[in-house]
Amino acid sequence: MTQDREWAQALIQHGDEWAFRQLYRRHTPRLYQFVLRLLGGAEADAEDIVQEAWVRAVGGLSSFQWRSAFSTWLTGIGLNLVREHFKRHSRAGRYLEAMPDLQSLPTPYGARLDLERAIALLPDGYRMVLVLHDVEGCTHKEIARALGISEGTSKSQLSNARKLVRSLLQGGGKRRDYERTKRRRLE
Amino acid sequence: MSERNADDWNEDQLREFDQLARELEPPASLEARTAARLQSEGLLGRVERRSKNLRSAWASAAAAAVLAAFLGGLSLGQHLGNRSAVETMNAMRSEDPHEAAVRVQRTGTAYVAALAALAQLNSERQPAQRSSDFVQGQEAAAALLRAAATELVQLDPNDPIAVRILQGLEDQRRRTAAEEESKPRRVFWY
Repeated sequence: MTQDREWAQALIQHGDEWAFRQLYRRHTPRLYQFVLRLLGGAEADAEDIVQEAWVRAVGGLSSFQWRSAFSTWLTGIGLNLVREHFKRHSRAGRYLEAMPDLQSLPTPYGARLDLERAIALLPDGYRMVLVLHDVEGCTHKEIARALGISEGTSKSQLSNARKLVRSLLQGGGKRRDYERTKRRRLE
Repeated sequence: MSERNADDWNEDQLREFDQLARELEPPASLEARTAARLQSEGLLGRVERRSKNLRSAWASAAAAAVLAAFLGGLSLGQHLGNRSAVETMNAMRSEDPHEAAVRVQRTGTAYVAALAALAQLNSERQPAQRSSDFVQGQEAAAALLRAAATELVQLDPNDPIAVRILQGLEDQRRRTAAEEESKPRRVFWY
């Protein structure tokens, strides 16, 4: 953290490219993996968002208070950019409530999948909550604050996401579970 | 892990979650693209851009140096400007970009320093000694000084002499404008 701060200082004071590259190389692999997973494996979008996250981070570095780790702050910027991305690309920005048609899932339903692929196939809103909770270890309170939703919504999204992941992981014959979940949400 | 519920995921599944990668190297080109974007937004030093724009920057700086040295007629400026311009030409012919970049920088800096000396010399004279030609010459020198310093700042935003000169000229312009504002205005009625 001390080193991050020294590099950040050099970046703020002198626009030091070397210092930027040190920060970039230390923190980008984490940010890239996080953003890529939230986006369900869309590499081009992930690269754009990582780049934008660095632009925002460097631009706002002088106002960063260092109350949290630099990586946490940077990841938060990445998360906000992913949210903006989903809002832009979803109907009426309601990506958090959306449930997809199974036909839209790119892999034939019924095939057994690995966990990473199953997460990638989740609807955007489900995926965000599941990644933040089950992969990143955030609490529902933290998720609610980060995504601007209620804790209840976070919990129900997680529950639905887990059901769907389990169905995808177990393969064939689980379509009914998904359809039942979807019907219940629409009622 | 905060609220992970063992009822929801069995041990094997929890292990699978824990084994998911937390880091992934992005494509190598992303670093260069991000650095270039930051430079274009003025958030990083402009080292790469400086060498890319070398030829046009050199041409502008050399032209400004030669023209202003001629117009100013100051022997110091002429000497420094001509000497550096010749060195720059030689460096460009030898096709060594780094050496040429250094020459460009030196040419501009020396030239601006010479013009600054001229302006300083003029400003030290007593107002009574100033003829209208003298004042016009001083204004021309100031205009040239601004043009040369602007060119240098584009070449190297951190050049201390050029930055100081531009700040000085801007302060002078503001002072003059403020003086003009404070003068009583005559109104003619017809």
